[in-house]
Amino acid sequence: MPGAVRVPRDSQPRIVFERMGTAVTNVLAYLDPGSGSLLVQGLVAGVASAVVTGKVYWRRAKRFMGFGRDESADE
Amino acid sequence: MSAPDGGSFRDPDGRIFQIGGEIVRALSEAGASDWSAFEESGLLARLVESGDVVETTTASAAELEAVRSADPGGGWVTALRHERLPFVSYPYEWTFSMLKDAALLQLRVTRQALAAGLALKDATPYNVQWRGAHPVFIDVGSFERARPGEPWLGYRQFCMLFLYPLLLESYRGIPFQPWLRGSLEGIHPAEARSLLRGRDTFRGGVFKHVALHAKLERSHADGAKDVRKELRDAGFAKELIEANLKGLQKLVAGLEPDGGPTEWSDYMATCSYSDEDTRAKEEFVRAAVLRRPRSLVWDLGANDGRYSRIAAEGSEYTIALDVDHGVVDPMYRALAQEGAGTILPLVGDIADPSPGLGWRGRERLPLAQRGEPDLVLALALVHHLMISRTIPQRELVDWLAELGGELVVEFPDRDDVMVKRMLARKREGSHPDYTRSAFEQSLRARFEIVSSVELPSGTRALYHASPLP
Repeated sequence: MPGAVRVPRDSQPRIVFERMGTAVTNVLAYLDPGSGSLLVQGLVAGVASAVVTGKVYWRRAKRFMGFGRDESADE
Repeated sequence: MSAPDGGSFRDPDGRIFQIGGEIVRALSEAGASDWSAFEESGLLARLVESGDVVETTTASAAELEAVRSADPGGGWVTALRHERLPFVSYPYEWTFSMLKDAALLQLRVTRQALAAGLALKDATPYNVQWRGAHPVFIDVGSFERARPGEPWLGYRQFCMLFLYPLLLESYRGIPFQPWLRGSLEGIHPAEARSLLRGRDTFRGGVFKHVALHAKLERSHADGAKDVRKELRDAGFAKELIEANLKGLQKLVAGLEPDGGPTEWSDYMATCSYSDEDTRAKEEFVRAAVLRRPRSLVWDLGANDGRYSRIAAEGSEYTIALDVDHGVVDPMYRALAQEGAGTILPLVGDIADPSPGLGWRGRERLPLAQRGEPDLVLALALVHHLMISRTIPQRELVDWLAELGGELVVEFPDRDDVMVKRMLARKREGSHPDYTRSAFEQSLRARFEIVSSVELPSGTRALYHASPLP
């Protein structure tokens, strides 16, 4: 799974994508989808989904160790 | 009546009203925008055409005005009019195969929405109703524009209200109806995990959708992390939702109800009717049904639905209710296969009927408030209620009269084989008032007896009665 994390973090397209992403998440669902229930969807759909969840956990681990970007910078 | 429907408040972007006998859905600005996307995608037309989604048209200006005056602060900008389905029922009244077919409908509709660039806000069986034995998705307000990188928001609800109840009954033989009646939210992942343990972990769907789901829910219970954003940033794409939906479709399609025959499932084969009795009974019921056009018939204690089918010959819609899901489920499957659209099979206990549930007890209505029958069939029923369930005779007749319709009721005497068997389980001399003459007396207090017949075997009588004004 570590092989799956080579994403150019600070490239221009990514910044554009994240801005769009921030805009769309302002629309919240009336139903609480449950954080664990969202994350499990990154595991239940086979190999491709496990890669996605692997990335989530890898990034969390890096942030925990002080290598990742500060999350608040995206807000 | 134009007050908002008590069960439609959860999504703030839409609300159901009854305006002049029509079912009208009011939409907020955001709701109207999603509705436009749904309509323009062409998916609505396809789903209505296939019968999967309730017929929907734009309401008149007068109807929108009526909604606004009924709910001035609602901020409603658009209104839709829906086809009125004959009878509202709830998942805790459905059989295993009904919940399974409703789940497959939910998954099918969700997949089609995904392919059309749309998403569904939720995944609840309360968005499914029936045209006879055909499930129909009723909540067009569920459709919204898909947001890139977003997981399926209804997944948790799908598990809690569709998947876990089905797994529980299929793998453990535990009927889901009492669980769903006990909690409108359904069965939580942690609860499902407590129920499906040990070797169940290795049965289809349990490891992923129950064990892992419960584990991750527990570890994210504080809700501190923005998991949506994390998943989006990690490249979550709609293909993953599609793969999950496809897997769930396969899983659900393969689930079967657990268990062998139940108390009544071989009743027709072992019951005490001779062929002559059956013929005479059918003739009597048919004559009563066809006496005048019927809009809604309730067949209480319907068993395999033999008399519901006779009722359907002369009524627009028939509810076939029985306490035993073991007989209602095969009835449903037979009706679904035949394509029957006017008989709705339901599981329910007359001695403990569905109450008002949810917020203010008005979200889900009691059975008796969901439509007044103009004819009630109570065949091979009263002895069970009076002897096994000890319902007092007079109260039973009062309740039948309060339903408001005509009545066809069967009374088996004390020397009937079934009654003898029931009385044998009781203390000697119990139920001394269980006699045909006492029953007739109670019946005459509330009804006028239109006709009656004694079945050829001489131990059962049938009455067609009309309620006294």
